Amino acid sequence: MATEVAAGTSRRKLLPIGNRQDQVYWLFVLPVLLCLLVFFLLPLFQVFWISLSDPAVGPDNYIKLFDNRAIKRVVLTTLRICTITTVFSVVIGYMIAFTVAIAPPRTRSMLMFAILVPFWMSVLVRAFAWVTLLRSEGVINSFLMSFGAISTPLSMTNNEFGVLVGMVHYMVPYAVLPLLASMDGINPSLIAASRGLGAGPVQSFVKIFMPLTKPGIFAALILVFIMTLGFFVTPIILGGGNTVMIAEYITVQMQQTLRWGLASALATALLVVVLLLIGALSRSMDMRKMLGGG
Amino acid sequence: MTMHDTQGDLCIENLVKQYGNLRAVDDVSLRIRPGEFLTLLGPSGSGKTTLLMMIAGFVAADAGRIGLGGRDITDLAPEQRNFGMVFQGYALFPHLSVRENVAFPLKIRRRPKSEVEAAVKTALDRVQMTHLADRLPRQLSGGQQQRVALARAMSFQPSLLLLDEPLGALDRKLRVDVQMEIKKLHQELGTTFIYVTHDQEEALSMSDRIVIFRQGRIAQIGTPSELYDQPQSRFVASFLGESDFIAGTVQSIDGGIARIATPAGEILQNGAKHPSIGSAITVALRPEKIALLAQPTADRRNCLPGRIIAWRYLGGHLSFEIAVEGIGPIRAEIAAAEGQPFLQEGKRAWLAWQPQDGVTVTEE
Repeated sequence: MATEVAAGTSRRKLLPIGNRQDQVYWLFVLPVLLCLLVFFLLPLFQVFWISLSDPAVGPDNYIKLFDNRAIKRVVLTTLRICTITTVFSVVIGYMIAFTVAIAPPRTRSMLMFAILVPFWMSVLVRAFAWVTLLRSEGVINSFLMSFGAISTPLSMTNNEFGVLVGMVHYMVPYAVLPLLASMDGINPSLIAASRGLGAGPVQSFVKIFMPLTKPGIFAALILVFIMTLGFFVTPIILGGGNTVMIAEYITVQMQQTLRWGLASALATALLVVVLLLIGALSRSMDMRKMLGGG
Repeated sequence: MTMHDTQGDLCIENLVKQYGNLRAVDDVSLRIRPGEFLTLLGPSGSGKTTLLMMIAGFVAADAGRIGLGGRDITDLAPEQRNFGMVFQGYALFPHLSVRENVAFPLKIRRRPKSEVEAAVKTALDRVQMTHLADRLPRQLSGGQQQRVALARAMSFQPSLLLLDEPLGALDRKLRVDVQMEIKKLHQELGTTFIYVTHDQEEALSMSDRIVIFRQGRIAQIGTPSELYDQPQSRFVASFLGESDFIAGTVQSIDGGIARIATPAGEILQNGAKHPSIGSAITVALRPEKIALLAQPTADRRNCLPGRIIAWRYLGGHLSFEIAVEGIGPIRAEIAAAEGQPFLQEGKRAWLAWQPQDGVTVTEE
């Protein structure tokens, strides 16, 4: 580290303009900073202010978060759905990442393409695609009924099951990337060493490979959990009003019951939780490396 | 062959490994005796590492057979062979402490806890790493990691220890120290060591026997001094140490001494077997066997005229390069004091050596 610093300062000294160039940089960045300030930070602060001032100045809205039963139910539903989604996404993501990690280069690029394609598809399209598959007259039900596996259609939409399916499907690629990054970082000779020292393939996986992917697992868990907390479109379409998560609840408070103060307090609380989780995440891992380098 | 003969012998028979058009290991047969320190030596890509990986079980054989003490292990998985292995770059498990790394092969074998502890302590004591047992590998220097890798490979008392360029990542000074330690370890343990390296000095200083590889095949097997003093081919003579080569034609053979005509003059060459009269012959000569004379000698030594091209001062001795007409540049190593009169470019000098100092080699 000391040498890096030394190299940095000596390079700076080689540049004749020195600090003035830093000022030029600022000029280029300034418009973006202004945009962020005006269109992001100020509104955010306003949300925070509304949560403390509407309908009356004080912490009432935040107190309500803890003793309002409806809110408690929504928060619990959200936490439950997010936890289940996270666990399933990371388990499925782990299997996919492992397959990619050990695949030969050509298969690997094909697999990576398949994993990344969903990123270019609207969440709306994906939710409706699942409705088509899961609803009572949908592809899966009519297929199962056509040869008598079931007599009445399984109820797979307008409930938590449908929401979970849609959300897990959306989140798996986000779990794969940090997991794959950590798997790619494992020196293959470690596995060879484990085999050479007497551990079979399964033992080598459990005792060496898995523990070495722990940072990746941790990163994937937090990343997926953070993202699921804010899910909006998928629960609305696949939950059909029966499964209400925080984001949807906030919208209802904003647009229908017009309790902006409460909505803002919920939004602020959600933001704080997410920021804390991101803090934990960035401590455990280099974020840029986690998302596939670059 | 009695059972006793084959006890613990590692037999490699006609082993072949093909990668596309390349025969990485090409019909290699070898018998390794229990307790032997055998080095597989060769330039990179000569097949030595592939052969080691085949012995370890990481690379499947395309043809041939590996037997251990009369048992066929050709198709056995690596974890079933019960060999210790030290990898290039050590391959210590980064999430486990030194102690846990060394205990790993024992725990896998479900040895009782007390036995694991005792074996780990013995292994760590042996490499003097007990005081760092609770460190993680990344908190250790390269030399220390190297020792832990050794301790881990021998903690479960394998019958065979495979070492894949274990000193490759160490700096020169440290390498010599660790060489001595590994050699000492081998003597204490009595385990068979199979050691891969491309460093000829390492091979010469540590091995009981050396196998020299070239393009997937064994070029020569022998003790270090056999290989150094009696190389069979041009390749072995130039790969192991340095050699000068003098080509000529056999004129006559008289009592084991061949008279050879070279473009620079006639020389004599001792040897049990010589090619027939009239055929080509190559004599390999170590630079340190050559003496420089100001006048041609009248004794029985071979003597060829040359001119000094260049020299290097190497402390105890001088390394001369001498042009010999029709043969090319010849290197000679001369004690510093004896070389003094010849430190002049273009100076005429006579190269002299005893007929028994040269070795007849094949042109490969």
